[in-house]
Amino acid sequence: MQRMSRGRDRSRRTVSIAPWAIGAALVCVAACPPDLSAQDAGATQKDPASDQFAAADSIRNGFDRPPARPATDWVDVVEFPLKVIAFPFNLLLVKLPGWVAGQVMTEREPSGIVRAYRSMENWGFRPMLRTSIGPRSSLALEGQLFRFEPWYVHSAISMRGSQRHRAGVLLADPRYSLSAEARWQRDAQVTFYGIGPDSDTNRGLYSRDYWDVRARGGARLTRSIGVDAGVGFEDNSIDDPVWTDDPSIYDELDTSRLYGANESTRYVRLDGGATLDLTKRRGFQDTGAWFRVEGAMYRGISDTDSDFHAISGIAQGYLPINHRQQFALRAATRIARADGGAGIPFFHLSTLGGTRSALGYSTSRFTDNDMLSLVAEWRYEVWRDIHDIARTEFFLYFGEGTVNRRLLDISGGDWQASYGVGARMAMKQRLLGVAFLGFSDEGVQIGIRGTWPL
Amino acid sequence: MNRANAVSRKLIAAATCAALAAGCGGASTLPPSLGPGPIPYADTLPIREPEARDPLEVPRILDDAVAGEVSHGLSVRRAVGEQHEALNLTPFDDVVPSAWFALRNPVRRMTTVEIRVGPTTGFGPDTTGVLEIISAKVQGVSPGFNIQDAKGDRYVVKFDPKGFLHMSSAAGVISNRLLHAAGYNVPEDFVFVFSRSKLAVAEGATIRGEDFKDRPLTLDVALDVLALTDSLPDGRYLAVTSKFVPGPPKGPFFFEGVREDDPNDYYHHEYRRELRGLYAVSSWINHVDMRWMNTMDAYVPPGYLRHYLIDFAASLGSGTTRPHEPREGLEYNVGLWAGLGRVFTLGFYQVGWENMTWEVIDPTIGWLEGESFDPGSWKPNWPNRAFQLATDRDGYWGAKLVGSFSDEQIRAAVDAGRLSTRPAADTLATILMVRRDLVVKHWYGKVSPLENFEMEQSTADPAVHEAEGGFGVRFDDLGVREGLWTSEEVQYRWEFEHAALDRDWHGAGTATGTGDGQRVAIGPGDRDPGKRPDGSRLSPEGSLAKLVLRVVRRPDGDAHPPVTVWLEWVATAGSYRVIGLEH
Repeated sequence: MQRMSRGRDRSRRTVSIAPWAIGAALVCVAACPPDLSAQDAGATQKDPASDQFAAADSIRNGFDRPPARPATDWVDVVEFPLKVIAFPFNLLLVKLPGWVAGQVMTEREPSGIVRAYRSMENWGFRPMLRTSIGPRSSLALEGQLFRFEPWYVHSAISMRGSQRHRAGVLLADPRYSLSAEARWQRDAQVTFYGIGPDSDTNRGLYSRDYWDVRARGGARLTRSIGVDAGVGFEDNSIDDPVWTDDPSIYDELDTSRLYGANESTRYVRLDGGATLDLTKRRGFQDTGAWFRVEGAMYRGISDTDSDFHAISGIAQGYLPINHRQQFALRAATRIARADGGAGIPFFHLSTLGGTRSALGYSTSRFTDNDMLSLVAEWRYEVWRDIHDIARTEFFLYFGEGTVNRRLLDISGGDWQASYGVGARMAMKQRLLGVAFLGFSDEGVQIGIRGTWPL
Repeated sequence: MNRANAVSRKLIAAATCAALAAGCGGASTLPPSLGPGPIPYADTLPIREPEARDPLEVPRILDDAVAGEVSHGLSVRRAVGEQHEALNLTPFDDVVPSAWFALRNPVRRMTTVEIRVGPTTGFGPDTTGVLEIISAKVQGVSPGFNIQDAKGDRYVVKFDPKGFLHMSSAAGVISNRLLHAAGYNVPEDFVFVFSRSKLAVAEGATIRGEDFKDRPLTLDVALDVLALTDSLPDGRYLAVTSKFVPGPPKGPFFFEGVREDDPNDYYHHEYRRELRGLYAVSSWINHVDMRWMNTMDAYVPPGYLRHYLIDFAASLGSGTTRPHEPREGLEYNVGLWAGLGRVFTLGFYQVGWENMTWEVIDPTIGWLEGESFDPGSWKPNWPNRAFQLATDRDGYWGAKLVGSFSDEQIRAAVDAGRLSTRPAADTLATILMVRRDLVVKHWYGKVSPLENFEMEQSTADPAVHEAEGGFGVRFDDLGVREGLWTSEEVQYRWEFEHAALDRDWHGAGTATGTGDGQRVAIGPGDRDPGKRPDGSRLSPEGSLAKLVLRVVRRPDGDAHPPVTVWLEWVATAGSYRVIGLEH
């Protein structure tokens, strides 16, 4: 009935304002579209379609039929408080992500920013946001110049003040790779807790500025075996942390005995590694084992009186129970030894803790010459896309790890236990992301990242 | 609505509120099914042309898969068994023809030719001339293109995946014919064979790539789509085509709520019997993708929205791009509760399909469960609100649609799919028959499947005394008709109540009819000549009587949920007449 009334009112009003509408039309005749008068004249005519709709409305309103939806009953009264409780969860977990996804996926004419971005990318410069460029998480902005491939220039800065600027060339095919790069990097806020398995939970922060110039080559000898080697130069300077009021290591710790904290160090570096990949990918699961060993030899140059080497090894094994459940095991170690002179700079010692070992501890929580970490995971599928494109697995893990001056010096009390739960989202050929909750004697750590060590 | 009606509704509402407040939960004396009924074609009145809508998929998926599943799983209403029944019901527990549904095979048995032809009015695209490609789509689940034939008709063309020629095209057309015959609106779908030389690109045609950018379409690019499918041995191509429905498309309809810009859209969709009952039909044809994405509203002459089901390529044994797998039909794509079950049991919780062994029946069929199919636990790939709210009555109604198909009709529908070999067609038809029988058996077991009640003045039973007001009732037992049980294997327990005539009788008896037509005598068990009130002056409410019947299986005595038959005392005739039915 309302529709019908509105239709009638409109036609009456149009007739009553027609004189001043005509006057206005005369005033702005030069600017008005030539068919405006025709439109006005048309609007005053009776629209047969409106009559038809009004008649239909009238018929509909006269229908006596069952209710359009059920009447409220006692169950609605009982359910009402539950709906009130659920409302914010629904808003946060369903509506908001849905709205965001909708905004992202809606096809629309690209805005000026998007057009500018695409123009830059088409030219050969890609701006992008990263989650971190230093050891601590932080939003970072990076620009990648790739117009002159295989040459590249990347430059990034994070909200914590870390920076990375590098230029190089990369030549790669499935069997061989050759690269050369010159980089200057500032890790603005690196945490340090002292040396040894019993280091205190009080931490200090420092910044590390370093040059790194290197050349590397790699070859895939067989389907399972790959080798790589390189040579490099680095120049390190340690200072107070930047862009933070958190305590510096110079205030919190005795740095007089930390080699590298009070002097610049320069090294030439020779390094090499070998990978033995005995894994097979079946669906979303790996099966088999994967090994890697790396060695690096540092020789002090200029006025740096320090030589040392480091060897690290990782062994990973995958034991599927079925195509949905499996054990994953990982052992990792790193051994750093002084070869003469003043010793090993403290920032090149082995560390434990963070997103790749001892997940229940904060990043680089423990530092010493040697590190050993053992982790076992129970992984199980909780969801798989119906077209087998992606799947989500949950995992429970338990790990023990420690650091010490020498592996042989490790005693029972040195081991740091860590355990937790997490979820992995994977495509068939690659991991999309990992989120975990890690527990230890020192509390809880939450982590989200794009790759996973196992 | 007239004033008197409005006042009486307010009074009823007030009385209901008072009853709720008092905690007594009192009900109206008149059953809902005897209130105003739905009006045939009421939703085909002219409306202003609505805007086309193109809703985003992800927000609705999240809504259905997470919020919908949580609210359904934790529903108090479901826990206490107070589900609402469908609302658009006639007094005889049925629907009326509308913009959603037409009364076809279940009401008037269609011929096999009618089934085979289905909604089509021609023979598909006219291949005597050039087939102009208007647009092409290379992204998405199934690539394809839109064409215009020499007659100017437009079609959507989609292809079978490589290695499975006929599979999705046949499934699409067969399901199209079955859904049409069941009563739903579907477009004109054809299995279509054409040669590559007939294709040309229309002027100004574009293609939307994976980056969702439109580019000018060239014939070479369009023909790339053909590389994604197999050709027939003679070099021609086979596809499923769907003719554009008459009238401009206005976007999908949803399985809940109403469309605000359609004044004809009155009943909330989740309370529509056609959509709730569609669950049983979808389970029969294994249409796991029965969701809003595969629906369409079209603004048809003389100016109303007709509601279509479209795109049936993910039905029967076809998963569109590959054969169906056991998971489809048994677990949602994002099965919230199954997922949580796995999370908290470290992955040891398993749904039945996870240990099922299976292999493709035939490349032209794909995979479709036969005798192990369980119609009660079937699930579409995505939660569907109307399906979630469906009650046993809705399931039974849908099963009646399924059960209306004879073996010959199923074979006729399968023939429309033009499978390449007779054995494959026979196999698919046989599986559909098996699944039909299982659907019928399941849902007919959830109610007392008794229909077509008629009254008889004679009890034809010496134990029931006509002199005391006894009467006979004749009905069809669909369980007997479908061979689920014989007359000898059941008895009918009944309760008859007519307060105004002081009649409160109950009893049980075997039927005395033959075939599926049964007769039961209703009356006082003992002669009680003292009670014979005057039935000639009863008020309308006093004329109402209720007969409740249950099918009781022998020898174990399992009783089906009852069917309630509403009767009206006709004083002039001195007998009852049937005025309503609730399963």
